[in-house]
Amino acid sequence: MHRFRLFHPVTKIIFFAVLFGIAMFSENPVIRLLSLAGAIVALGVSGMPAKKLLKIIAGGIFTVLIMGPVNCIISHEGKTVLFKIFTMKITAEAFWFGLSAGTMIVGTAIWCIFLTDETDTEDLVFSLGRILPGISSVITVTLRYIPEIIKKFRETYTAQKMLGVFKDKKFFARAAISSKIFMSVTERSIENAMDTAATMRARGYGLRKRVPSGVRKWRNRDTLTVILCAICAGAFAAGEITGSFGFTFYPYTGFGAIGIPGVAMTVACAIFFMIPAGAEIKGRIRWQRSFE
Amino acid sequence: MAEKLRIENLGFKYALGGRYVLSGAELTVMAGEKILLAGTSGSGKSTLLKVISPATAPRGELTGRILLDGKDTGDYAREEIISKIAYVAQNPDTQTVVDTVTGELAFGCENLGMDPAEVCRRIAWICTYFGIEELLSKKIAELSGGQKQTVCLAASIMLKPDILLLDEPTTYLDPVAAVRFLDLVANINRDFGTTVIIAEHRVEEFADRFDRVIKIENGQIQEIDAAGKRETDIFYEKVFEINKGGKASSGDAVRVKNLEFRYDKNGRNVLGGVDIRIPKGSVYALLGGNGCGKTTFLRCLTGELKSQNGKITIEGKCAAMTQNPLSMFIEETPEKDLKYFLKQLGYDKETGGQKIKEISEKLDLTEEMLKANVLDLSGGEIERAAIAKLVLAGADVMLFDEPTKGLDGPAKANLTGIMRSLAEDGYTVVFVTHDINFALATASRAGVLSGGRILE
Amino acid sequence: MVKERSIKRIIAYITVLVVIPGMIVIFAAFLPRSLFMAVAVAISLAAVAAFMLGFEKSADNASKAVLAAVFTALSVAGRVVFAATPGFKPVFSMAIFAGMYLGPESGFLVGALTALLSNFIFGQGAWTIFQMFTWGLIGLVAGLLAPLLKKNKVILCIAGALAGPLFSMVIDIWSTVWIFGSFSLGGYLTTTLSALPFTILHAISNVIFLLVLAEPMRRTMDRVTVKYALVPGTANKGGLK
Repeated sequence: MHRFRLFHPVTKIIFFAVLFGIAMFSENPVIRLLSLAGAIVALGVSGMPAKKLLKIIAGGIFTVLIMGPVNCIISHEGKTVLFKIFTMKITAEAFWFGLSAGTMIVGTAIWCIFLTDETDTEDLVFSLGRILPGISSVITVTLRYIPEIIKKFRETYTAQKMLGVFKDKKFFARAAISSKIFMSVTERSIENAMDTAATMRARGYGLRKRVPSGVRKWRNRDTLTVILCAICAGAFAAGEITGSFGFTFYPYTGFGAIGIPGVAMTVACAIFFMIPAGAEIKGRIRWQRSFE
Repeated sequence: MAEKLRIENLGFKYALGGRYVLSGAELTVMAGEKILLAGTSGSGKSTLLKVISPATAPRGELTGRILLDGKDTGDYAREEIISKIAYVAQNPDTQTVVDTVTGELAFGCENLGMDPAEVCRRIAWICTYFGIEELLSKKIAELSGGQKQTVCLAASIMLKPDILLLDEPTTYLDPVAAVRFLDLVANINRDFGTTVIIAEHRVEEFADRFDRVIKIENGQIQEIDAAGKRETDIFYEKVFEINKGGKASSGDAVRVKNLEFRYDKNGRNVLGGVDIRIPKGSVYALLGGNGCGKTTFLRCLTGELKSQNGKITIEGKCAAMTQNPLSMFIEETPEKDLKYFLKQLGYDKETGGQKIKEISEKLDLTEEMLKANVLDLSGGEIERAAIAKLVLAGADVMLFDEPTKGLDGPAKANLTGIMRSLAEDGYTVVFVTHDINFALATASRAGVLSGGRILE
Repeated sequence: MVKERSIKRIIAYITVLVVIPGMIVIFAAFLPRSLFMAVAVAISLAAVAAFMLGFEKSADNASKAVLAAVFTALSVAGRVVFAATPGFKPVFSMAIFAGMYLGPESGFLVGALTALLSNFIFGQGAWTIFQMFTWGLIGLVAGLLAPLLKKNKVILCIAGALAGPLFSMVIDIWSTVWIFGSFSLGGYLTTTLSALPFTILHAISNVIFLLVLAEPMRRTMDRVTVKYALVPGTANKGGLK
């Protein structure tokens, strides 16, 4: 479960950079479909509850279906006119384009859910710590404060509620009191922050260049993933530039000539989108075997 | 034994404050000594501990000399002084800087640019020594107060200091965690020969754990003999005796019958059938160990938590003071807050002003305190202002969650007086506490919450 | 010497504020989809990176670092505690206050970090980089207009009310091109109008928060400045003498 979380933060950055590059830039519907499929499989095998996954898929199908008509209203390009509303041409090409755009939006959105699931703030602190140690410490202090402030707010809110301040109040009056509570928490937090600053100074903050001590080991799987990312990015670029797996929507929707770089690009992308699922499945097999 | 620290004719005045907090203070500390520093609130205990190291010294005017190993502390390089003198303050919440325990432990070392491999080794060593291995993977926000303070202590030991200065480190801890913390400090002192100076207001309780007790009075340091006065009797039996002399009363303010509560649908009952009656006009103390459900019980009484079984009957209105009385206030000053509060409750300006005047006279809230920023009030003062708010809210039954947290002796005595006079006026006071001595001094009835039930 | 540096700074700000968004708009009209997106991502990334690098040195100052951290944390926590009321969030107001009281650089950092960190809770995605850039810009502008905003509450509220719609207008240009393949007015209106109720509520909530928080914020910052002797440039030294 969540094997991809264990990957090195740098690997994750490279993977997601290439992923979003392809998923968002490509206009090829085959690549877009592969991306969508990869995203769903990745979420499915990494432990998302079936009910939640089905909800996401249902929402996705809805979005894809609605994007077709929406694009027909916005865009009137294309030669196959289906019918006319007043002077507005509704074309089949615009409809296909809309479906394809919907696929891309949903695919990207699901990959985003996966990204949020598989990365955490520690990845961020680790990778920033090497390049910008100062910003990285600002982030760690922020992360220390966030739960503290939420706790303070909830405490104060409950105390006020118990005192009867919110009784018989309308929405805007409640909102005003809530923002007042937020204000008092703000005051206290800023004041406490100054004590934290004193503590930091007393512990040597800012005396020298900070050397972060967090350890994340670079493993074979990271090397392998990065190599796959590089191959795929290369194949994608080659395919796009040579245009040998062309697909056009306007004026007529259809495939162009298909060449070797185009096929290579498609295969590479198909493999690439399955990397998280592959890692997950490999982890599961090892887990099963450990009982034998 | 070699001389570690010598303070000669020390004087200190804050940049913003008028008078000298310390004047002509003299102290000599031998290497490996363990010293308890006594003194009332505002006597300058914290100031003394802070000015010893230039890294923690507040802005102000310093006269006299502070010598560490025969050399003026001001002459050391900042890096050196930071690794020689460690300082732990009272509130673990403002002292922890990083979100994770590991990061917090490494913070000082990282600042000094220590080799990462060495930092990891030190973390491993300290975790084994403190027995906090299971905390390593946690976030600071998930820890209890005692655990946080232990992490602060561990983080200060990471740089292997010669001197450890602790400023009332157990203020926010319950008695059990406090003793455990002091034991840890004693171990460090014994095992590494670290010199320890610790400020505490519970002198009698802890005096016999230290080599020497010193006291600050009028800006000067004196040696005192505090041993032998320790109150050893903290057994619960005494608590149960309170109820024997109970006088007949005019009826019950709170009646609880077979109250059951659990947080999880399938979890265990935190409260498993609580039955109590609290007579009108009494001061009821509810005691019990950590995590026994005392706060849960209070939150059931206020109606914040809905119980799954049983019945609670409360005569009149009930209001609670939270563990942190600051969260009772949402305006800058107590006066503004009380005015705003009464306005929200629907009082007009005149009646409101009159009410505030009456209650502040009764609770001894001076004009100065009413107009001060709530953040500048002392623990006792803010609590009094919070009690005023409870009275103004029209509460007949007042609930207090750990009211003695962070209070020193005189403030506690003051609170005892207030609670008793509230009871005489017909209010019913219920408080939960760890502080048995306070309960014995204050309560007219008492109970102990244990195993999900209240025993009387 | 000082003057020369401040002129340089102003030039840098103008570049970021006018030239870059202007370029994005022009590119949106002329560049093909993939190129536009690459350019937009690259510009936002470069701007965010440049500001972070600029703040890196100031982060050595514990007070500056902690103040930036506490404003960011307040803003993220605000997004969490007000999660139940969509649109009613103190995020922009905190970025504006950060800019006003901590300066343009800190303002940018607070806005950018709020986007980055709160998205770990609310969902990370490709939009994070644009959010970082635009939220950062709000803090930056507030920092540049600080004297004006501090003096006049009305201007502060107008600025707060405009910040939200302005932000969604910039983002919408990008999403239009991303989704519909090229910039068209129809597509732009679709994206903008679909978010209109949300945008209006957002503007109102900004005004409420700014009105309620403005006075206490000024007081708190004054108080902290006196109590902790936060005079710029000396705070880091600490200690005696």
